[in-house]
Order: sequence, then C-alpha cells, then structure tokens
Amino acid sequence: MKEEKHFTLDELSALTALPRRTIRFYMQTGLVPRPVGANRGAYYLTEHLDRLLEIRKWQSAGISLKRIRELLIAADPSADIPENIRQQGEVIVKSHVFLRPGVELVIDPAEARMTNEEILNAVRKVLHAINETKGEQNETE
Amino acid sequence: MKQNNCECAILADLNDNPVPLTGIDVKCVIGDILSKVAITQIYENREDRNIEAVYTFPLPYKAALLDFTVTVGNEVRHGTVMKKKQARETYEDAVEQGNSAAMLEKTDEGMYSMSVGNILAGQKIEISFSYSQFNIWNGSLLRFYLPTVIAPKYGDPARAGIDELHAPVTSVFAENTVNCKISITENLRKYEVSSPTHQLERSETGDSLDLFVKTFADRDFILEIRSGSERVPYSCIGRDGDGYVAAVAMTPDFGKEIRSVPRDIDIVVDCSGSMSGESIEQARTAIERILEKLTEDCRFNIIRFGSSVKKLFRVPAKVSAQSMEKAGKVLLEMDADMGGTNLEGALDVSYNYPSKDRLHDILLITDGEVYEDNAFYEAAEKSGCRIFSVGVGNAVSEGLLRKLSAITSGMAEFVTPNENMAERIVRHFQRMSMPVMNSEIIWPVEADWVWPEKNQMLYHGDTGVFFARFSEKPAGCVELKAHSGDESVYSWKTVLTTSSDETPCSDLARMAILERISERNDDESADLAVSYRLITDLTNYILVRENHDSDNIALPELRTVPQMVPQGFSGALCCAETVEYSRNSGTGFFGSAFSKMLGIDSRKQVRKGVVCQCDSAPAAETANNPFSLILAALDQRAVKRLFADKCIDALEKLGLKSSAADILRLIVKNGTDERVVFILFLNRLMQRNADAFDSTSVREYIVRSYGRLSASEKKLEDSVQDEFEQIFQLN
Repeated sequence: MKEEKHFTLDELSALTALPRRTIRFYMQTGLVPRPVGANRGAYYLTEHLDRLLEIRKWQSAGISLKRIRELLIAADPSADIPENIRQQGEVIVKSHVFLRPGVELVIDPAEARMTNEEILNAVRKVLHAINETKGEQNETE
Repeated sequence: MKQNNCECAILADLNDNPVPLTGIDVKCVIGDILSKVAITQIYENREDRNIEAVYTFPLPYKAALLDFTVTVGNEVRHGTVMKKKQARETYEDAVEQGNSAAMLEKTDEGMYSMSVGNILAGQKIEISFSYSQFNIWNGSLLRFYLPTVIAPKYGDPARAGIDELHAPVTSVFAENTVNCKISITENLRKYEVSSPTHQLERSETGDSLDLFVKTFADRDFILEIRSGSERVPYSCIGRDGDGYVAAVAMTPDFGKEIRSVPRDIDIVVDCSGSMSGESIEQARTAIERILEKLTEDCRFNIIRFGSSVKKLFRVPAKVSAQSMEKAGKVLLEMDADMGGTNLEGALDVSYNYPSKDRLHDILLITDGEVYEDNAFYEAAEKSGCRIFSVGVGNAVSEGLLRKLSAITSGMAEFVTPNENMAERIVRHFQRMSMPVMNSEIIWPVEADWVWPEKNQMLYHGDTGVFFARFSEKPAGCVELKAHSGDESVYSWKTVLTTSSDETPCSDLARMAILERISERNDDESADLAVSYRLITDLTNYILVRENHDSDNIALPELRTVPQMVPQGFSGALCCAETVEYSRNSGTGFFGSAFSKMLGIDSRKQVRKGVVCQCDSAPAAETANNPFSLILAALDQRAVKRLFADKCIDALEKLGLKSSAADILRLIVKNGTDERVVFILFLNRLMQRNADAFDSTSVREYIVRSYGRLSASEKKLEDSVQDEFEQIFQLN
C-alpha cells in the first residue's frame, strides 16, 4: 500500500506560499477539506496540497473566490463543497444598468473583478451589440 | 440613448448560526481638551463547539488606540502590540494549538477588524479598547462622532487591500445593540448639548452631565456641542521617556478680512444608488446653498457621477443668469440613479481641467461608500486641487473623506440628515476664500522635533493641533504665526500649561507619535509603533490565553459578525402599492393638494427591483382628522423635504388651509422666527393627534426638531396658544 505523505499546516503554507490564516479560511468556507484526524494530531495529505495549488493558480489568473468555488464544484460534484458562503439576509451592492426596455445588465464589481473603466466599456459594447441586433443605428458617443 | 442606472440591494442566501457578538458598550468622557472613548465588545459562543469570531467595525479616522484588554470571567488580561507578521503568526500558533487568542488590526482608514479565535462552547469574552481624540472645534461647533456601522460599499474590497475574510458583510437580520454613556465634564457642561441622530436621556451629577443612549448599530451617533464664545487655546504636556511632548491646540481667528480670490469650483456630486433617499436630498440642499454663495469672480461646474460621469459645462462657466438657470435645472433633475460609485473617475475629470492661474477647488458631496486604492489618494495629492468634502448620510465613510481632504489641504464636513447643511456650506466657502497661508509655530525653546513638519493650512475657526518634543519640560509662550502672499501677518499666542502627565510613556506622547508615523510604512515607524504600543497599518494588538484542554480543541468554525443595514440605506422608499393607494385616496379637503405633491415624486419612487423598506403602514382609511391625513400619508422622502424647507409655504403646498397658513404668517410677521413657528405648530399638531401618527419617521422628526429648540424658543409656545387654537377651530 502506498504510504500517503503527511503535511502539517506549516508545511502546506510553505509549499503553497499561502498564509496559514488563508488556508484555514479556505477550510472554514469549504473550499479545502478539513484535516485528517483531529486537534493536535491533525495532518494534511497531497489532496489538500493539490487543492490549494489549484485555487492559487486560479486566483493568480484574477478569478474571484466565488467563481473558483463554482469551478471546483463543477470539476468534482461529489466533493463536499458548499455552494455558497453567504449569510442569511446578506445585502450586496450591485449596479443595475438599464439598457433598454426589458434589458438590464447586473454587475457586482467585487465579484466580477472589474474596474470602473472596464464596466463602462462593457456596458457600451453590450448596448452596441443589442442595437445592432435590433437593426438600429448606434449613436456615436 | 439615455441610460438609467440604479443600485439595488439583493437578498442572498442561507445559513443559521447565532451571531457571536452579543453587545457593544461605549463609555465616553468629553473634557475641555480631549474626548476619551472606551468600547467593550461582548462575544458569546452559544453553540456547542468552539468558534472563531471575526468582526470588522468602524472607528474615527486616526483614532489613537491606547489599550486592549480581554476579560473572561474574573480574569482580566492586557494585550501587546506586535508587528503584523509576528502578531498573525502568534495568533495562528495559538488557534492551531487549541489555545485562545484575540487580535485587533487596522484594515483600512477608519476600519478595524477583531479576530477572536477559539471561543469555547458556552464561553463569554469581553474585549475592551479605548482611544483619545483632541477636541476639534469648527466655528462654534464641537461635533462628537461615533460610528457604529459600515455601510455596504460599491466596488471590490481587494482594491483597498481588504481580503475576503475581513471584508464587511451586511445582513438585514443583523441586530447589533449599542449601549452608550457620555459624560460631559469641565467647562463643556456650560454649553448647549444635543444629538441630531438619537434621543438622549440626561442626568446631572456633581461632576458631569451624563447622557445615555441605547440603540442599534445602524447609524452614526453624533453629539453637537455649541458655544458662541471665543475659542481659547489650550495646551498639554506629557512625559516621553527622558523628555517631554507638548501639544498646543489653537483656533485661528482671521477676523473679517477674508477677501475673495478668483477661483474655479467644481461641484462633484455622488448620484449613485447608495445616495438614494435622504442623502440625495441633502446633496440637493447643499448645492442650492453653494449656488447661492458663488460670487462673480468664480467659475463653476457641476459634475455628477455614478457608474459614468456627467459634466454640466464642458469647461467651468462664469456665474451668469444663463449658467445659473442651467444649474437650477440639473438640481431639479438630479437623482440617485446613476448606478455605481465611480468617484475616482469623477475626480479625474475634475483634475484634468487645467485651471492655469486660478485656484481650483473641488466641493465633493458624497456618502463615500466605495473602496479605493493608493493610486486614488496619490492622484488627489498630485492634482493641486483642494478637496472640500461634504460627507452625507447616516453611515458616511469618514476615513476616506478625511484622508482625501487632509492630503489635498482641504477640509471635510460631515452632515447627517438632521444637521444643518447650510451652515457647513457657508463654512466651506469661508475656507475656500482663504488665500494660501504660510504658517509656523514658534515654541519657547528648541524642540527635538515638531509636528506637523511642514506648512499647515490654517482655516478661520478650525482648531489645529501642533506637537513638539523636548529634552526638558518646556515652559513659556507659544506663538502661531501666519502670513499670506500679500504680507498681512497674523499671530496668536498662548502660555504653556504648567501641569504635565508624568507617566513615563504618557498618552499624549503616544498620540503625538501616532500623528508622526501614520503616513509612513518603513521599519523605523513600525518599531516606534511597537515601543509606543500603537496600532497602525504595520502593527496589531494581540493577546493569547492558554486553555487547559488545548489538545482536545479542534480548529474553530468561522462566524463573521455582519453589519446592520444602515438607516435610510437605498432610500426608505414606499412600495408601489402605497403610492398608488395614496393617489387614489385623493378626495376630500386635502386630497388634490397632496395627490399632486405625491404625483411629482411618485414617478421617481418606483424603481425596478429595489428592496422596499416601508417605514410605516399606509393610512388604512381616510382619517376623520384632515391634518393627520397629510402627515400620515407622507413618505419619508417628502417628510425630509418638508423639514428641509421648514416654512409655512411648504405646509400650505401640502394642503394646509390658506387661512390657517395666514395665521401662522402673522405670528412670523410679529417677530417670531418662521422655523420656530413651524416646529411649534407641528409639535402641537402631533400632541393633539397622537394616535393618528403611524409614521414613526415623522414623529421622530418633530420630536427631534422640538428638542433642539432653545429654552426661550420653546417658551414662545405660550404666547401663540390662541392663534394655534384658532387654526384647529378652522377645521
């Protein structure tokens, strides 16, 4: 039987260059499984290391944690990852951009990781595309 | 194509755990020179497993935190200050090993996070910390500010360097309670004290005037202390190891020789969704006052922003009948319908218009609910513009606006919905018309260092605090000198106090050092922060407590403490049904009058997808009393407007009979202030129709406004008894 490599939290932190608090946060929010064993005797396996490296890879590509969560669930639906960490009754600020009757663009800049300029450009482009689809003239700004 | 944008509050999803923060206790002592605030946060684990609580909360900008204690049962322990990296490692070690730890760190300007790891099942932990601030007078007002809630902000917290663990979260189910006691001591007891935000209970003791407030953590708590008398300079001295630190607070009085200098003024106003409701009305009032005060040598522009930025004029325009008419139109149309909060973009537009040889000032009106990064502040500093901000709303982002004004040599004013906007605008104009001054403080002996190091911008009636460090206890006269380009010289003197705080590392020394190092990021400032026990961007407070059974304690579950939804957030709009109903009930005596009024507003009130917060139930039947019909049917927005105008014409527009209005006008003509007549009348109206007043917001308004009348104004009620009776007889 193959001997599984055991890691401490310190070692995981050193290998992934992620602070221990961050790793603990991922475990608390279900992105990474809990350690094997309990309390002082707890240890981590290669699967923990792999998961952390995966998350780090996506983060450095600019993807939000919420989106990463969705990707992880999609990749392995049997993995026990809770879908959402939002609290009951949580209030989020989003922008509802009215484009034309019946068409709205909803943007949460935190989740989308977009700057104001990017949002404005996106809105312009979407509006342009819709106007074109409708065969209408596009106004020059 | 016109784009209409709005911000919406959207309810999100589930879980069901009890919130670990069960109470907040605040005790303040306000003396002649300093205000000291002690806060205790009570954490309780009501589950059967150990948890880790994280609570991000607001404190005033640059508050100097002076101590940190953790109480469990009878045991009281004091925390220490460590550099961030070491503090975090200490905290992690403790939690992983099954011990308990508490850590307080600064997350952003005015924003702090408390992490309490391994609160054992059933355990109660009290964490206390305190801070001191110098009393800063602005004209005749000393404004005591205690924030209790962080409002939802637009944008990505990561921009401000805040990670997901510490980012504030708002929940409609949050119910954080605050118990507050404020003791006003020394000479301040003689002055007028009131609160525009909360109802106060008062109790006089031998030493102090004690004020009590029990409330929710859902808006800023403000205390206004007013004194018409001249500001007296004050000084304090405290030991700093083998030397002494001295502080002098002077309030310069430049007299009446304030000459107007030609300038360009950009009025930048936030029209994002968060400004909806009271805040946008405050902004409207502010701009009205600003337009009134513009002089002919000013050029101005109005720049509205949300997700996009809209300038009224392509370049700043001269004050003229035409430009004023255009401005007036914008004022009417202006609304919180421009979407997100692109504050950076709006300011960039303002910076980019080069004012050549004129001074370029920015009047910024916003609630500040946005995350910004360092580049934002750097751009402001480089712009050469002075930013005079007006922070509005019930949970304004004080840190952002104070920092923005400080680095541009401007000033920030804050106005909650019940405070006097006009007064603040007038003061900003006084500040803007100040020519640039060169100032210096002359101490009686040579100092090891002084703070501020460079030229401090002085404003008429605004207290400035100056520090210096000496190797021996200083004595004698301190002089503040200022001179402007045209060489007029001003000078104010004060004699240093002889008393001193002889504690080896006095609180004063710590406050002074904090001022010196707060903008710095280097190792030396981190070392100073540790030795003076100060929380900065580089240092945290930490305390570890060992647990007996640590080997058997698992890693804790995370419980984040959510913020409450701030009062008036997203505008407390009436639901569509209520508006419809009120329109239909437009019959009877006052019917047409208030339907018309509601008709103007209702177009803007109905917004797609907004979470409606109904303040009061709509009037179920047409009440017999025609007066109660007006007031009970008013929505929060219209009430604010009514009270902003504070005049008899407004009452008449609402449906008060002309003959009744004329009686009130006669009282005014005979010498009583219209505002006073207005409030006295409404107060009497409310007393007579108490049961018809469903709307608590209206009731609150009247009670608060009445409470803020002076004793002599209240007495006037007696003299107008007969006239009021006449009015009630009329109906």
